[in-house]
Amino acid sequence: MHIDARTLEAGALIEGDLCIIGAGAAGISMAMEWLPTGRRVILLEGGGFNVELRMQALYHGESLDRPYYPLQSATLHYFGGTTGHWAGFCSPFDPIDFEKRDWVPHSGWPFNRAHLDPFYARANRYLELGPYEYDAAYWEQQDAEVRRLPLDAATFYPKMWQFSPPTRMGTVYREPIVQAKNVHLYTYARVVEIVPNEAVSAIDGLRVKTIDGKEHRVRARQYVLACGAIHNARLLLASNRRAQAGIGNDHDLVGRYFMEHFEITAAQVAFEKAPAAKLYLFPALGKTRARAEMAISGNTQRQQKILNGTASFQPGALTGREQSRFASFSADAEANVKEWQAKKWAGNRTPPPEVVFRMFTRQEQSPNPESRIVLGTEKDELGMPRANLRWRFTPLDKRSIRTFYELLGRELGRAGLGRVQLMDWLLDGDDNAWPNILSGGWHHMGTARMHEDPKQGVVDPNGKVHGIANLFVAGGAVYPTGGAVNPTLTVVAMALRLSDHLRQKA
Amino acid sequence: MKRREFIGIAAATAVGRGWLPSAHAEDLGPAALARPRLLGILRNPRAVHALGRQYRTMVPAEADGPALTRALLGAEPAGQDAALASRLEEQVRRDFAEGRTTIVGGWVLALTEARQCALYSLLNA
Repeated sequence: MHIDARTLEAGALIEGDLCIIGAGAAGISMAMEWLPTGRRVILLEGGGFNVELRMQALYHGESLDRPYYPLQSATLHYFGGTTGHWAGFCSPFDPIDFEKRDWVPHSGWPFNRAHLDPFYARANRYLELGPYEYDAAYWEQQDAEVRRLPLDAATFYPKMWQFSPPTRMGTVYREPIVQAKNVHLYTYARVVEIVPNEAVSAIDGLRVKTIDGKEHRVRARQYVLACGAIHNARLLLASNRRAQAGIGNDHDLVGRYFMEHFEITAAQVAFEKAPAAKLYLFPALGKTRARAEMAISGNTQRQQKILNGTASFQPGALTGREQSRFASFSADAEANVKEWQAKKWAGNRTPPPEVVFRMFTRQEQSPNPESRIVLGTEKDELGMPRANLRWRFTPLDKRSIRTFYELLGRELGRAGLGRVQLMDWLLDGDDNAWPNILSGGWHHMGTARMHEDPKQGVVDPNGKVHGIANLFVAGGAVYPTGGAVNPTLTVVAMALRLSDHLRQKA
Repeated sequence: MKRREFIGIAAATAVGRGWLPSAHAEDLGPAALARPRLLGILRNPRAVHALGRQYRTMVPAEADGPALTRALLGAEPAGQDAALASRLEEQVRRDFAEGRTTIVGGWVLALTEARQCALYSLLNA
């Protein structure tokens, strides 16, 4: 069922069993799981069914410390959320990503990768991927030309990705949600305040505003925040009438530990002869678009005390004209959506006879309490303080990238395959300095981190906000660490996990 | 971009004329010592020359021919050129495997091949 909240009488009371705030990858996949339950689910979406600049303007904020994508277009504020312009890169986090690593401060998830595997398999289906197979050996069996580079597997291995069509969740899942009797989708219903009880031990309700100025109330037994890591933190912090520091923020953790992925050209490789690189280059293996990136093993990360990272091969040598995407990504979200939805994704092609490749890094960011979302003094059109970004790094971040390529250079040399040249920015002797070619992945994580201890995490291992009986957080906000790979598959897997937990409680 | 455009320097330069053109070649040991595999990988003698010169600046103790020859050969005699080439190749592989590498001009090089580049730069000075 769909209701445009602008058409309701002002002051309407919306009631249900479960209220999901935000209809992006997490919110929609959760709502889909509740279709057969008969429970009354309220799915609140701040925008409509299409991208609109006026709604995106509510997401405007400043990047205070360093360049970043324009915040009003980096995430999307309409049904389907940021899947409206994602590229479909999917891969599960590695086992080491879940471990407590003594060289990575604040690392460690409350469960391991094996625990998440069944949810990953289900998430694979929501994102229209192939079989839940992320071992390169499986893909090597699908195509005789697909072979990994002969490197020491104890150091480097091919980390597999699958590529979603990409699933535009607002398109693919609109019909089943709108047709469902028990799921009540409200569009243009933007939550501006979470209202706790007097003791701030449970949530009494939500204040919702529409863009035309109406205000409504929402009441449910359970609430799930699924607005993305930036706006989850914003809403918790801004709901500060009864909890002065914001909800769930007794220990000053909400908004902190903001993480992205470092995406940056970092090196080039000269092979002695053109390598058999199909596995790494062309995302089409059988019916599934899939490919590998060069990844560093968990054991090597332990030995070297570095972060997790991967590198992809891009044909051709460094040009000296490498650029960041921060400046080129438009602040006009409508234009971005149009551009990204018109993209034709690469099919199976014959690899060119290249011997020189640029190496493009994806790497996790070390959790850092000083890297954070903060409320600004300026308010948006609906009266909410804007979310500003302080994206800050640690020396471990850069040292890890440098170590990765030094080790890759040694391994390619040992194997007699070629040589690696690191870019100057990795060798400038200052691990606090970053070049202007740095980009991120539009991946926002870690602002409501998960930990058993309320002093170290905003939410508990089930995603429940510590100290609040009926408020949960979904999405990348709860990640204690961000892994090397794109977060969407894990966002959906975690949403399904949370959904199962809530269904058991219902 | 193909290998010949890599680094963007043409091969037909004074340093790319061939092997051991210098009058001092015999003072600087057998030819294989100054024939780094990197020449075959980069196919850019000028770049290899520059890397060798940079290595000599980085490691002043190995800035001259005799010092580099000693560092490359150790206590063992040079032997035949072909055998020496094979020995050096294995030495390069072992350098990489055992982490005896150095970064010169951003390139991760085996210590042996960095010394070979240095010798090459001397021979083609």
